[in-house]
Amino acid sequence: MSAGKPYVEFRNVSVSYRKHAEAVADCNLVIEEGEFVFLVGKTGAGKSTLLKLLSREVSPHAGSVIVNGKEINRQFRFLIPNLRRRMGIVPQDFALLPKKTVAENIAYASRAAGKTKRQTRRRMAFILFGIHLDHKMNSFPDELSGGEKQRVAIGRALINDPPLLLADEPTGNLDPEHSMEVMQLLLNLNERGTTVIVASHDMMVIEKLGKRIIRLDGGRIVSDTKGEITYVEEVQIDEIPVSKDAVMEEAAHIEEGASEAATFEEEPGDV
Amino acid sequence: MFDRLTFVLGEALVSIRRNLGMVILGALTVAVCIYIAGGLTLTYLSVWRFGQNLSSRFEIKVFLKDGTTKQQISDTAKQIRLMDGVDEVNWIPRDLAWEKMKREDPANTVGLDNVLQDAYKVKIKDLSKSDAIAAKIQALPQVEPGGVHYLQVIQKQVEEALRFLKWVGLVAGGLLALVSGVLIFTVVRLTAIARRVEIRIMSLVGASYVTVYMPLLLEGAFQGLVGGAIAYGLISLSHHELANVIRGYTFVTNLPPLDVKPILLSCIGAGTGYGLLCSILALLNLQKKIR
Ligand SMILES: Nc1ncnc2c1ncn2[C@@H]1O[C@H](COP(=O)(O)OP(=O)(O)O)[C@@H](O)[C@H]1O
Ligand SMILES: [Mg+2]
Repeated sequence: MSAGKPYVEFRNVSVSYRKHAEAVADCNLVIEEGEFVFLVGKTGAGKSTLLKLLSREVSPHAGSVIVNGKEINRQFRFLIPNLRRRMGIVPQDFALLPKKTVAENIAYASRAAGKTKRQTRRRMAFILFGIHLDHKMNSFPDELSGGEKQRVAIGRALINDPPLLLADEPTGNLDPEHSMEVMQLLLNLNERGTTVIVASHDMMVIEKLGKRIIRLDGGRIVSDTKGEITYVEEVQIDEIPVSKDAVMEEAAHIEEGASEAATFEEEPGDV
Repeated sequence: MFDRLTFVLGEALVSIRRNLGMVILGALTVAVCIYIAGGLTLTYLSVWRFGQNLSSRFEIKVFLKDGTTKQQISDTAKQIRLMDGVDEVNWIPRDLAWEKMKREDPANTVGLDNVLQDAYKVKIKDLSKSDAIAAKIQALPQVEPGGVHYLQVIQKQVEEALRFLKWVGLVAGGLLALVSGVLIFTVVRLTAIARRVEIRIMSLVGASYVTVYMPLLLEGAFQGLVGGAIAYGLISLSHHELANVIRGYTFVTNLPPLDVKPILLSCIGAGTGYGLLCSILALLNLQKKIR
C-alpha cells in the first residue's frame, strides 16, 4: 500500500505556546500514504504538539501543515470536525467513559460522530473483533487492563474508518507485554493501509519494529531513520518477555490480519 | 435527521436528569421572574390603557382674552396644532357657546349680554405631554391668564402609577432575571464541566458542533420553557382568584377574562428565549474553561 504519495506534510512549521520558547521549531517533514512512523524524544520534545497540529488542536504560528493535499491550518475553523472525521485520534489518557461498557464507549463516539444507530451496530462487530475485545464488550473500563483500555481507545478511533491514525504515547503507562499488544494492533491497522503516526518514548519496543523513527529534541528533528530490522521475524517476538501462549496468539492475529483486512474492505462505506 | 435528533435529545435528557435539582431550581426562579415581570406588565398595560382612554376623552380647554380677533384666533389655533402631542384643536366661538347656554339655562342668561370668551377644545394624543402642552399654550399671547383648564389630578396619578410600576418592574424583574440567569448559566457550565470527557471524545471523533453543543443549549432552554409554563400557571391562577374576589364587589366592573393564547405564548417564549440566551453565554469561551 506504500504508494509513496505524500499524505502528511509539515513545511517550515513553528509553534510556540509562550514567547521565546518554541515547542516546534521550523519543522519540515513528509509522511507518505501507508507509512508507519514513530515520533520519539524526551518529554517536552514536541511530539504531542506535532500530532495536535494534525488534528488542529494547535495552530502553527508559522509554516503550513498539509494533510492529503490540503493546507489544514488555512481552513475555516468550522471544518475541524470534518478534518477529524478523516483521522483517528488516540489520546494518551484513553478518555473512556467509566459508566459505559466497552461497546457503549465505542457506540457513543460513533453516534456522536454522526453515524446512525444502524451504521454503528454494523460497524461495532468489526471494531470489537479488530481490537480483540469481542469477549469483553460488556465490561466496564474499570474491569480492563491498561492495554485493553488502550485498545478500546484505538477501537474508538476507528469508527470513522480513518485513513490516518494518530496515537499519542499509546504505550506510555503499559508494561512491555501490553505495549507489544497495542503496537501489534497498530501494525495490523497499518498493514491494511492506514497511515499511522505514533508518538512514543518506549524505545525498547520501537527499535524492534523496524519502522521509520523520527527523533525530536527541543522541537527540532534531529534524526529520521528507517530501521533495517523487519518485524515478524521470530527472533524479534522471542525477545519480547511474554509467555509462549501470548506469542502464539500474536502470531495468529498477524495471520488473521490479511483476512480481516478483506472483511473490512467488504464492509460498505458509511454514507 | 431523526436519528440525529434522538441522539441530541437523548444527550440533553441525560444531563437534565443528572442535574435535576439545579434544573428545577433554575426553572422555578425563571417562573417567579416571569410571573412578577408578567404580572407587573399586565398591570402596567391596564393602567396605561386606562390612561389612554382618559386622554382620548380628555381635553384641555383654553380661554382666550376678550377682544381677540378672528385672525388671532386662527393663528393661535395653528400654533397649538403644531405642538408635539396635540391631536386636534377646535374653536368654540363665543356666540355659539352663548346661544347654547341660553338654550340650556335661560333663567340665568335672560337679558344679559354675551359674557363668554372665545375658547378652544384641545385634544391630546399623549397623556404624558399634557403638562408641557398646557404650559406652552399658557405662554401664547392671546390666552387668558389662568385660562388653561385640564384634569391635572387624575392624569398625575395615572402617570405616577405608571412610573412606579416601571420602577418596581425594572428593579424586581431585573434582580430576578439576574438570579435566574446566573442559575441557568451555572447549570449549563456545570453540565459542560461534568461532561468534559464526553465533549472531548466528541470533538476528537469529529462530532459536529451542533451535536456537541445542542444538548447543552437544550438544557438551558428547557429550564426556561418549564419556568415559562409554571409562570403561566401562576398568572392564570392569580387571575382566577382575583376575578373571584372582584366579583364580590358589585360596584367594581368584573375583570375581563385572560387572553390565554398570547399570554401563554409570551410566557413560554420569554422563558425559552432567556434560557437559551443564558446557555449561549455559558458556552462562550467554554473551551478555555474545561481544558
Ligand atoms: N498547552 C501548553 N501551554 C504551554 N506550553 C506547552 C503546552 N503544551 C506543550 N507545551 C510546551 O511545549 C513543549 C513541547 O510539548 P509537547 O509537544 O507536549 O512535548 P512531548 O509530547 O514531546 O512531551 C514543551 O516544552 C511543553 O512544555
Ligand atoms: Mg506528549
